[in-house]
Amino acid sequence: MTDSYNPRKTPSALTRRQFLAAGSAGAIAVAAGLASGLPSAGASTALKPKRGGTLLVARIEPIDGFKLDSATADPSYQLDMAVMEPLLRSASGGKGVVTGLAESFHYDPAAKTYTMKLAQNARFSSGAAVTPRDVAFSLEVWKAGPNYGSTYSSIKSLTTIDDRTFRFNLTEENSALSDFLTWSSSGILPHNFGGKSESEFWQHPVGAGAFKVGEWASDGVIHLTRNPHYYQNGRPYLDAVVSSLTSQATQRALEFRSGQVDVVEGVAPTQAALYQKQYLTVLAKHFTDFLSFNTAKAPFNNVEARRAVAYAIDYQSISRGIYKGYAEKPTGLVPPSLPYWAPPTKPYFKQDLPLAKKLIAQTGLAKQHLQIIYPSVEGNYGLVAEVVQGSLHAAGLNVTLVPEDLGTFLGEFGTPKYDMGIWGNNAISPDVVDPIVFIYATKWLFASYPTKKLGTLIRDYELATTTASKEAVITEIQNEAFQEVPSLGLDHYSELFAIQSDVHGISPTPWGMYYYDGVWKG
Amino acid sequence: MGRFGFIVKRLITTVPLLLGIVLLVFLLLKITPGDPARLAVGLRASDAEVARARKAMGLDQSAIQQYLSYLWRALHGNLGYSFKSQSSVTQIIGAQAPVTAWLITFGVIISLVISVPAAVLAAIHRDGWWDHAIRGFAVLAVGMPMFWVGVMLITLVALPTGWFPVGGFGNTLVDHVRATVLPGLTLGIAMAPPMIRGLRISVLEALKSEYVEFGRSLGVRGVRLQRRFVVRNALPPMVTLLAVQSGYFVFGAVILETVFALPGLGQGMANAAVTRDVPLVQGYTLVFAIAIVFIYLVADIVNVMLDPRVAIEG
Repeated sequence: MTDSYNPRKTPSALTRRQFLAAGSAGAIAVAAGLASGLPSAGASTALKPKRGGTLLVARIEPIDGFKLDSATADPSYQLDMAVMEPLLRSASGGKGVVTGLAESFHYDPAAKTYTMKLAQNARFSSGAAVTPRDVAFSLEVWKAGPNYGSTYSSIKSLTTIDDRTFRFNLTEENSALSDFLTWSSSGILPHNFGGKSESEFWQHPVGAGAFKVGEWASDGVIHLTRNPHYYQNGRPYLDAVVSSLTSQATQRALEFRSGQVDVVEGVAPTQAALYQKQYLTVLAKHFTDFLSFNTAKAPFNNVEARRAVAYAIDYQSISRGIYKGYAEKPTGLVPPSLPYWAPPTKPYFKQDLPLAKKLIAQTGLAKQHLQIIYPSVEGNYGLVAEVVQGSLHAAGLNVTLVPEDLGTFLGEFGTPKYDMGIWGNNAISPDVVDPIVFIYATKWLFASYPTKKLGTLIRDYELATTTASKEAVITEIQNEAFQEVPSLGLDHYSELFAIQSDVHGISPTPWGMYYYDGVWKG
Repeated sequence: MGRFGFIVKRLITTVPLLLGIVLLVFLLLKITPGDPARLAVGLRASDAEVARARKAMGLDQSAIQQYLSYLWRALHGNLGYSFKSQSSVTQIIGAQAPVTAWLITFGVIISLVISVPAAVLAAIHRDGWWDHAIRGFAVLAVGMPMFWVGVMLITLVALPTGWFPVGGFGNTLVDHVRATVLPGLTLGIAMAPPMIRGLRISVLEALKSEYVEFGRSLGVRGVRLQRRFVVRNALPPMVTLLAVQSGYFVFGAVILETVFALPGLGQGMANAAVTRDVPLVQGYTLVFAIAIVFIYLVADIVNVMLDPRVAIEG
């Protein structure tokens, strides 16, 4: 649905006299510029950020509240980071870790320590200085979290060196810890929740992020206002950010077209046609659809049965037919857009119907009546499921699709009840180990497959300190995924952002996170 | 029985009704697949952590224990806390309720503005051009899905004119009014057809009645006859019809709040159901049940006031 509707109100059409006058003035200006040696019309001067304004954001789903450990939705990560900024940040484009609230960090593998120094002006939105004592308290909170707590298990203690410098003492080497310290779950909190009870704090959190929380509702409007004590001088540029939930894709597109919102986050490739191309920012091909097998019961407790399915699927139809150029065929379970990614030794699965049929005959899969469950949320899962079903049907398999609401789906995925399931995965930090840790935590993406070997490989990765050694471990993990195929990558696709032309400074990572402090309007 | 006694009796009988509705929803949530503890704690949490959370949320207790605990707290004004956001359910509902109230109020007003004149016109010109056109509109309106009407109004009215927002509720009173017009119109168009049909029948019966004949014999004509003799006597059934429609108004609010991105009870209920946020779903159910029961009660009272012939049974 594309047309020439300009989402920003334009002045009424110029009269002929006005046009000629403007054209003449422009011609004179260009001539004068050329004569004085100014840049030609082809070159552009960089725009200077302007202070002020409110960024209006349409988000696609409710947030999980502001409790750091509860965040599971991308908008939750985004907003948590804006308020309770972690020590470190993802580099632009998601290509590494950079300093932020911690102005320096140093990993010493021999001593098993991370030494960090807080930024000179690090302050909470309350005005209180951020100190190592706050970091120590935050660490306790992180480790106590049931969802992400195990991520920080290698941090044994914190030693304060001076009023801004501290050291994490580790139980074991962990070169990946710096990536996890960019996660929103690693937000820095005031000591003892600033004197509030924990439950009160999470309703009105205080952090050292660029914004502070005003009124908010998980499935409504969230108001953020500028933190006047933010450690980056002159930032944030914006006075406020207002994030509104708009569940439907068409509604988000209409709001964007009318100019009612400045940014639509998380535009799926299947919805790209709802926007004019000039307003779309395409991220790296990062999000990964996957098909998981229930390896705890027949028939998919047999690796040959899993491989049969893997060779039957028409991956090209998924990446080209569904995603129309915004996706590529799978390279494995983790996307290639992350630092330290490495391919498996052998190329990943591609469709081979004769081989698939042979394996189906060997395993007796054709006699089974199989089901694929997937969440019936707005998005691509239904389309992907249909392509998978069609592919398996062509290979001689009898498969029924079972769309389920998200609550039901998550209640069944990973239990003995399902045969196969389709869902999606993405990183939230600039390291390929991030999605791998999720794969580990969910037993190979809800496949109920043993994770002992994967756990050992993750440990090897954390011990590795060079790029080559990290990539070697990733190749081993990829090989394990390819050999045993407890779950199967189906594609890697791009997410898109719709951004109005007068909004600048948005540089999302491949997984769709960006920092509000660098955004400005004008 | 006097009217006061009638009201008190009705209020007392609503209590077991509300208890029954809450129990029914409670049981439905228990048998619906999905683990609220897992959804609340997160996908990375270990089974042991999920079990701990289940215990902290009281979900390890028997269904009867959970239900009685909930009732006890509700009677003390505590509807619990959202499993997901840990916000107070009372607070969440309190913030969302005005949005839904705005929407339903607008919807009711617009449906009355559409249906009353249309029904009277159709009845007066029975089997005439107006009658056929209005009844045709009613059939057409019934066939149009509510969300489609909403999207059409956004595309054909909001976008080109900019008079109304495409979605959201805004911050000021003027914003709220502007934001509610199109969804209210959508709701009104959806609710008008049964009201047009019901009121048309009422008006036709009134037109045939002896008191209207008597009025004519006294020389009362035209608008005065319609207003004082016909419409006034045709209205009581409309009140009952409106009350019966209240359930559809609530259903419509759920759809339209999603279409127009209004942060009301309907959108909240839909989101809470998907995430198995049990305290929130129970809270919404209680509020909707109380609202509908209250609407029925008010409808009965208004009926009695409009038509003194309606006896209050002892």
